Amino acid sequence: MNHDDDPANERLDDPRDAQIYALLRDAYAPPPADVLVAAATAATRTPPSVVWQWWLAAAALLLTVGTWFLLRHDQVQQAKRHDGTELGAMWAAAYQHAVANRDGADGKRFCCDPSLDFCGTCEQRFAVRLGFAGQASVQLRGCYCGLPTGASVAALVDTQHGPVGVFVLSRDQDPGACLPADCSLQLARRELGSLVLYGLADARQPDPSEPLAQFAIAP
Amino acid sequence: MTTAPLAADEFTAAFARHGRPLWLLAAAWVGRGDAQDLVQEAARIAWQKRATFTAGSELGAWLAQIVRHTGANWRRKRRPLVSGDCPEPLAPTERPPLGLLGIASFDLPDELHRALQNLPEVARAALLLHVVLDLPFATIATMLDIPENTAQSHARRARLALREALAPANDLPAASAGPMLRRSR
Repeated sequence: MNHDDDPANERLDDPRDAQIYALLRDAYAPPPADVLVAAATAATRTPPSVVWQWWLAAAALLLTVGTWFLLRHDQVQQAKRHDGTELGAMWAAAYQHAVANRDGADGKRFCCDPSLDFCGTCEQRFAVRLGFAGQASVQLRGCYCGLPTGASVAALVDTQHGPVGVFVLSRDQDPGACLPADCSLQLARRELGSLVLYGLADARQPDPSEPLAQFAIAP
Repeated sequence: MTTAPLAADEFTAAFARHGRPLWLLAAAWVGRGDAQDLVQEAARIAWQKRATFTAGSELGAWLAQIVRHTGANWRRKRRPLVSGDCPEPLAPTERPPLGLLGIASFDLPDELHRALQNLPEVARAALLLHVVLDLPFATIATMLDIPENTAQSHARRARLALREALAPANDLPAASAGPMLRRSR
């Protein structure tokens, strides 16, 4: 051992130092390096602690519950996010889209889904069975499934004067829809139980209230 | 500063290089009897926290820091039984039996062992690392996270304290003359 750089050696000839050093080296001899490497190797193979796994499970549960709550809250608030003008603009766009696409190039209708049960959809959304008493001159083409329509259930009805868009809302979610000022459409409104029905048609057609009158709450 | 994950082979290689100094550091904190357990525990913690290691920095110093912190926690849990952290040396009549110190005395003379235990952990570590492994003070300072001069001062004071604990120089036998010293096993 080199004691020249040891500031503790102010008396290098002190016989106690040699004794102390020898005793310390004997008593504090570290184990062989491979023993210590084995400790490190064992550490790398240690599974994650159970406490850590519990924290992870708790965090996952919290995330799931939080996501569910936020999604549900978002569904409830979805209609309330739009004011009447916004909702009217959305419906106008949806109506024009539906009219423009009601007959495809190959003759197939693809703006609406005739197989989608309108009555069942309303029951699912509003817990109210909304029926349609179709006459020869007024036919329900199907549920609209194109552009967003807020929280409403949308359908397209064919009349002898042209197509009418029908948008159904729960009354407590109705912001009082109105069309934009420059819109060339007209809007009719009918309250039916806990529901509100809006009819949307071209301004050159008759009042779209007539098709709305065809709807009734089924028992 | 970028961090890279510490690979298992790099981790074990570090213990091949720094394992013996780490063991001595652990012995300085909790005694020889528990040093191996402390190294094992520190290795486990270090591996779990390997993401916090900064690539390019001194791995030995990082491991030494974990050993020191783990050792400090270890001592806190055993505070009533450890005399090494007493601010003042105990009088001979007040000293607990060595077995209660949590640190086996092996073949050290009682006087030397008690003097060693009454040192602060940093001073004990500085002396042991320098004497047993012949490490330069620059390395010791890095392991203890203190300036090099401070490490030297700790070692010097520790040595003087051990000298005083032993018999006068003229009465002391050679290192191999153990029977002259009172030993406890």
